[in-house]
Amino acid sequence: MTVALKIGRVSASRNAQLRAEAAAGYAFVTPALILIMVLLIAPIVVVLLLSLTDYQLGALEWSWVGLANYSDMLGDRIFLRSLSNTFIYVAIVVPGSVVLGLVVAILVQERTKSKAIYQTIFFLPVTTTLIAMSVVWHFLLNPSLGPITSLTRALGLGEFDVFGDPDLVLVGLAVIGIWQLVGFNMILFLAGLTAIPRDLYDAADIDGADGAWDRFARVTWPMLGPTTLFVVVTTTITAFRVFDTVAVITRGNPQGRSDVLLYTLYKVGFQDFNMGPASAMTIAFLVFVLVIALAQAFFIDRRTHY
Amino acid sequence: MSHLELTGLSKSFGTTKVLNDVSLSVRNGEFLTLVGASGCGKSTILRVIAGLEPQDSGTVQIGGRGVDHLRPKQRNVAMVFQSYALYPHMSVAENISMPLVMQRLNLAERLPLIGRLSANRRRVMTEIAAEVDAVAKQLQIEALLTRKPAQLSGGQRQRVALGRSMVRHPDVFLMDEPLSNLDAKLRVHMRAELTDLHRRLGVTFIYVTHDQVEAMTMSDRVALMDEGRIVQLGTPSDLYHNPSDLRVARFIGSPQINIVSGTTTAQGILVGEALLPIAVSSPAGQVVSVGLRPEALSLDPVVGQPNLAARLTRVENLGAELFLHFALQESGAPLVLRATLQDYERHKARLNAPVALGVECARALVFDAAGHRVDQASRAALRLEVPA
Repeated sequence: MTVALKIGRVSASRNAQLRAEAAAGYAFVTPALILIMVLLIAPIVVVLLLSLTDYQLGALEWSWVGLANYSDMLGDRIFLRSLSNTFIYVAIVVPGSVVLGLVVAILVQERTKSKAIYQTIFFLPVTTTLIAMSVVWHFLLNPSLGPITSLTRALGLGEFDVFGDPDLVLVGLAVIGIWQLVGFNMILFLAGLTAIPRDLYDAADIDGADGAWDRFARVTWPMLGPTTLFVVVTTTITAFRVFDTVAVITRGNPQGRSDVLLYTLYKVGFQDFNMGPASAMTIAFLVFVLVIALAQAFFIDRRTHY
Repeated sequence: MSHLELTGLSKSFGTTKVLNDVSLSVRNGEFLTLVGASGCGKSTILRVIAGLEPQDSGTVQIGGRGVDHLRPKQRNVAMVFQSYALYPHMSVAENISMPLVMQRLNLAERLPLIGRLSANRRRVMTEIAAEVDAVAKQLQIEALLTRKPAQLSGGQRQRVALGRSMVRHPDVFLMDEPLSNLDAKLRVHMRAELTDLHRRLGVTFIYVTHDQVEAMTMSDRVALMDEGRIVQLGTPSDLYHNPSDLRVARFIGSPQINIVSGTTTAQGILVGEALLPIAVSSPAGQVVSVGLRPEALSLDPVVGQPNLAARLTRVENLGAELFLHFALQESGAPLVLRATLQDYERHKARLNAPVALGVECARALVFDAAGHRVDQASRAALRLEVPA
């Protein structure tokens, strides 16, 4: 009886101690939790709620409209066109800037003395403001005044109105996107390349994998797996957010062939002040980004880490 | 199976001379160890032999054939790296088969998808798989063939690295500190396995280590290196009992050889008050270093035997034997003595006070200020050649 009582008392005091520890733990976590809620979760929740209303920027009255914004959005020609244009843009920019970034990184890495110079040059576009550079590109590719046009004309290739041609406009924008991303991807690949142990190349030499292709295919490329995955994911998300070049150069023209998701969203929200539909598009945008991030976390990550 | 001949190898990195006119002849099927402190050039020799690093001057011959103009894969050497250098994205079987795949399939057949269309590829891959299985069986890693290196322990990775070397039947095995990443117990075990493997394969092994125990226990011959040169080349017992240089005497042997300083006289060498009757080639009045292995000292000198007065400072008990640490009465210089447990028990009582340690002068090694051997005693009698 006394023994049982004693055990009971011990476990009671033990429970009290655990409760105190838990309380202290929560106390430590709370500030971070509040910040995450206020800064990260709350805005998303607000957008989610707005997407269920017909709220107009500056309006005093609004009402719930349920999922109407979403069903309108899925039937909206401009939205669907923006979506498909964005996907085309991503489909050009991601492979282009990843492959070029890798090629440049491998070439630059082989240099010893000039490595720093090349790194800086290729990284320059990353440091510039894309808005300002869009103006420069606009001029370079101008069909009557641009030096690139003069060049193609001199070479007998004719004239290209890149940003006026419905078939070329997305390609033109994508080239600027690639130009801007190659330097950043190069830096990431360079970091990945330096992490490959020298011994592996020595072993490959002795095993007979000493040609440029074999070294790349048997050592470099597989060892860059985790880096490549990271580069692809960041590039995809960056490409998905294309906005500056469209807003400055084409404004969705010609014939809406350069309408992209964020630009359409911006027009609906801040030119037409329709916050409800704009919020619905934002949610759609977030879903795409989330899908990419989840794909990385759950599928591909496991196959590229050794 | 081939002998290996290095002639006048030199190599510099910038202004640092890593190899300085190294010549070395390794017999067919020999287990030769290059031993030395880090930075002595031993790994560079290995890399030059493998063709991973071009030498500045000198030649490498394998089996009588000059290989200087050949690429690593054409020299038919295999190398085991300190880090094992296994391909982390490939399974154990793929790792081991890599040299054969590269040898026997052409570029088109090696391509990921297109290669599969080739009938020749299927035939060769079946052959290779059989050879990989055979090697895996020898190394007892059959059960691991489908695993990735990250899922293996250090010892298992070591075996896979060995397997990758063995599968191609190389003329020469090059091993760059292969045991240094293993824990102490496994290292002792792998030492035995490697010597066993060498005996079974009968191929020339060139083994690089900084661990003198590995050099002593595994090799037919040992080359001790310092500052890019081979200081001495000989059997392990040669290096231990008959070192030609103070650096060799210091490097080989555990515990380290005792070095006491003395002065040459017409009658022998004066160490403090004690006169050690050892004939030397140096003139009288020179300062020399007298090297005494821990077993050349005894606790009970016989009548008339030269002795050194010392007091006990520390006892290391290893079970079967003990290392008794003394300090010389006069100079305080440390001395280690190897004693059996019985010896120690017998003399324990009087070790509280300074004692006279008997010196077996026939085993003393004398070096001049430049580190060269100067005693004249013949060491031949002491050589303990291991019967072949």
